Amino acid sequence: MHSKLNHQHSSSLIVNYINTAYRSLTKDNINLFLSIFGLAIGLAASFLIALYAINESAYDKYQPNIDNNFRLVMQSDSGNKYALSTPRAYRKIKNIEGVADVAFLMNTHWFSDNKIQIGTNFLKLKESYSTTENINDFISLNTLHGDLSVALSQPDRIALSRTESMRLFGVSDSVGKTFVKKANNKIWTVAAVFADIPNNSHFAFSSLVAAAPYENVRGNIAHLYVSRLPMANTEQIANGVTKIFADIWHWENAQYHLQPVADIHLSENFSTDMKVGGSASNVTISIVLSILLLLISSFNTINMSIAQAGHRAKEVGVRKVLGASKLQLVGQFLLESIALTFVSALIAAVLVELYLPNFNQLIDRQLSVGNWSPFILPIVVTTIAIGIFSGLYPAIFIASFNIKRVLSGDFRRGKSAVIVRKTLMVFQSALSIGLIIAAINLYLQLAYLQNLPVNYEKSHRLMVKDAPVAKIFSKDSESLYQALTNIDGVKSATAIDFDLTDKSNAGFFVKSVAGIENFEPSLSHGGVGFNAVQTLGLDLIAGRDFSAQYAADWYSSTNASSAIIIPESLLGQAGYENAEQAIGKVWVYSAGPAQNIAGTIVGVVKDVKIGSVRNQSLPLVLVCGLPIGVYSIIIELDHLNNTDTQSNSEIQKQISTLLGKRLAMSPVEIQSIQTNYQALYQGDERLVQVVAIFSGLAIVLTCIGMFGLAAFSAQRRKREISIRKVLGASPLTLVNLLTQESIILVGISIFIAFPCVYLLLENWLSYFNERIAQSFSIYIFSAFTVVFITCLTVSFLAFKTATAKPSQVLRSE
Amino acid sequence: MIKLTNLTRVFRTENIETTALSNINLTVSNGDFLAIMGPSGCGKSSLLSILGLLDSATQGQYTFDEDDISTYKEKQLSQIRKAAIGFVFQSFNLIDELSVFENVALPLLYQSGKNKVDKSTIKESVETILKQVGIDHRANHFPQQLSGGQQQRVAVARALVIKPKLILADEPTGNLDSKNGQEVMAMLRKLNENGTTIVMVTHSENDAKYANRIVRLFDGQIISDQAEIPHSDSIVEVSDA
Repeated sequence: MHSKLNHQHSSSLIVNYINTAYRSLTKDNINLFLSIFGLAIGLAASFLIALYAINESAYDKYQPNIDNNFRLVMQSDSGNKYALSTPRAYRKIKNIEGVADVAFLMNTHWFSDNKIQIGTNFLKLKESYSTTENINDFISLNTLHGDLSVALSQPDRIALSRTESMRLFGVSDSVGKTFVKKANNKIWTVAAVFADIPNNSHFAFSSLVAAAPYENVRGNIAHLYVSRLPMANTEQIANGVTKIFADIWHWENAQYHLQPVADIHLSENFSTDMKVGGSASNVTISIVLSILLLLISSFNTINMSIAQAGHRAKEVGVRKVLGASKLQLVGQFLLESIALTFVSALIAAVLVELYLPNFNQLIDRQLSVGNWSPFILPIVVTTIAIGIFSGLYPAIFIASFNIKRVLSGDFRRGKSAVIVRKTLMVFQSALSIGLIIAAINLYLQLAYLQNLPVNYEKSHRLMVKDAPVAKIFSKDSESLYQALTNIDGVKSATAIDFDLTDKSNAGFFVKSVAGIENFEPSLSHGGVGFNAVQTLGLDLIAGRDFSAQYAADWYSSTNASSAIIIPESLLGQAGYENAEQAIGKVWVYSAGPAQNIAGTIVGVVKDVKIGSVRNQSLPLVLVCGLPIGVYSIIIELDHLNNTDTQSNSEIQKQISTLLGKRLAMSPVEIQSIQTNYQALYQGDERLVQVVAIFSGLAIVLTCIGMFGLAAFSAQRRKREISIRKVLGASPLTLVNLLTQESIILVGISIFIAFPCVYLLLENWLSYFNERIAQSFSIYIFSAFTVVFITCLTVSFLAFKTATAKPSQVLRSE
Repeated sequence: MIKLTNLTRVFRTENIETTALSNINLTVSNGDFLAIMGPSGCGKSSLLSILGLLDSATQGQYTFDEDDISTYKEKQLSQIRKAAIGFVFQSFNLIDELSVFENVALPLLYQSGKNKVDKSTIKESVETILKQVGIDHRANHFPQQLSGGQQQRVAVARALVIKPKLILADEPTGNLDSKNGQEVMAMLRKLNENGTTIVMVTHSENDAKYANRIVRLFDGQIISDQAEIPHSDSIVEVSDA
């Protein structure tokens, strides 16, 4: 018989290696699948996190002159920081040596309710900021239509973002279109439309107007940016700024710093920021998690390779006899490892494309991998590196098999590999236990923070935003609140000039307190109406609520007087031994436009925590009848009803109708305080979710690894098992024999994991003022979970081995 | 070609010492067909390993082709081995993932330096050898698809493809039935007649008859070394008369 020889046979070593690798690997499907799958998961997760981390770190990097642009941040000696300043200092700052340019951005909601009318539609401008003409030097704004400088230099002109233009006018090019400002019936014209600010910037606004009208505003309400000359000394500039502000406010201890704009996104978040920032610690945690996951996957791969080594022993022996050098053998197996990693990388790429939308939802970002080409090189390099990392030891191990022993069939896998495998297993197991403990503690700490007493009542409270100040914050407003209370289901109502779940809008500056030399803590101002304590659900320790019964409570500019309610935390500093002592005392203060007002303390409440625990917030002093900021009505509902159910829509309708009529408000925006509060912690909840997912993945991977090790052990001890069986051992005894090894490994890993995790968590928790104590039961639970999963996985395999027929195994090859 | 002088091989593991070979003196000349025989544990395999440069002696001298290689390191031994020695094992030791052609080509792929072989030569050599042992019609098949006899033929082809100075066979018919065994032994006989030096370890007196010299080992020492009259192919001891 004559047959044509196949010309595709390997006639070079590399091809030989590839053929061998492919055929050998495809023989053992399960282990191959697990290995590739595990690595793919680790790679995919790392890539997603890398995308996230890169994106977070690059916020604002595209802005012009980014290396020389800074934001002004004030720090008082009590450690509190404030990111807004008064625009009045604008011109003076320009004159400081080293300063090239100054710009500011100010949210116009301080001065205007921004309600407008277009045709017959009543709308409200969103995020409208006034800014200086040179803002283009600080922000990369792409003008799509019209002329931005016109919008910023002329009155009654506005520049809209593209999205805002679409929202208001339905077209992108709305230059020349007009709307009416409801407050003063003035006609405004759109002078320019600019491209939406990209996501990767801390700047966030929907429209821009000229700064000129607001340059002399007294309050600290502007975001001030400074551009320095290239070689200028930042310290010097900061000191210069500090001096300027000290002259304006006559403070002694407010130090200004220059914060690089590129650092803003990941630095601490201020409630006054234009949008919610990121968190450097979240980025760090995510990076650490992804590295851990990658490590676990790599360890799995190493374990699998070593386990498979036995199957390749004969081949290795033969190749050595035929002349392969150790280097060639190492090379052969490294090549296999790298090839495997590449396959995993490909699968990882597919996984990334599939899960990117979900991931974006999880972290509230809009990451995308449009075009993979910029990623190709780093991915290839990483893949090769991981291939080498997870393939090197197994390759060296395999290449050093003793020829003689292999060929004579008396091959034992060698002690050293087993130790390595078991060590890796211990680490993986420890990592998994550690991750579970960390995830649970993370969740508990965040839940704890979320449930910290805020000392105001969130439930049964509604907030009606942006009501006209004159009508709700006047002494005669009482009839309005009476009418509200008369609605069936409403218990009480009052006015408020700040948002409990967000921030207060003004500072409260104490000029003097009788008997105290220097009373200078930084405080927040909270302007409220009568019955504030009742309506807001504050915890009154001493004294009484603001009440219409005491006419003198209300702020009077003629008398330069008002009643105030102070927080408990100030008692000590003011020199009062207890809350009762404070009642009746007078503090002279300034807040907003009001200067040197005599504030009589009528009540003391437990400190109100405004916004999220993460935010810096200063102790809040309540002032009766002095509104500064954004004006709303707080309504307390009868406690019998649940604020969020359908039964309340009736009540809300009535409120809406009443306010619409009495205050000519349109639309009437009603929010639930409870809902707003919960929204504060979304970011933290996301972090917990991410950690939970990663921990879950880590456990899955560890199980895979556990499975591999168990299979390896079972395989190695097949003969022993069979012999024991022949000698009379029961399946149960044999299962115990095999699972023993794994249990001991997990036991060791517990000893390693517990102290490490404990210390790490203590370190992390120490950064919180309020923190949980670590509970040992969590540790027990985590260890138990891993032990349980191990037992399950290993027992299953052990059982299979223990029930195999001995004769098949004891027969020699 | 080969001269062993006072060769000793001692295995040390932890606290146990085993002397596998003790004061071996042996000479193998070009064209010899040597059969090494002895009971289990007598040191045959150890002797073969040393002869095949797979292992080094603890004491004594090994001269291969005029060179004293007693103190050579693995790297140097490997160089000599891959160019000059072909192995035939009891359990064939073919690589299951490679086809017959690829298995036979493998030793050529590992040649290096001045011995490096180019692609076309490899193809040629392999095809020739496969024809020679009569297995060319199975060149694309894998070892698992062949019978024991066929696998051993492939192994012999692989040993021959580098045109070795010496062939070492370790119980070449151990895993074969009598018919296939005879065929393999006949093949070896023929190779020897054409000039290839062969050293074979066996415990089969039948197989030993194909050799022209029998060295008997016992407890690590040579107890006899006799030239034998080689039997022709047709004379084979029949088990039942």
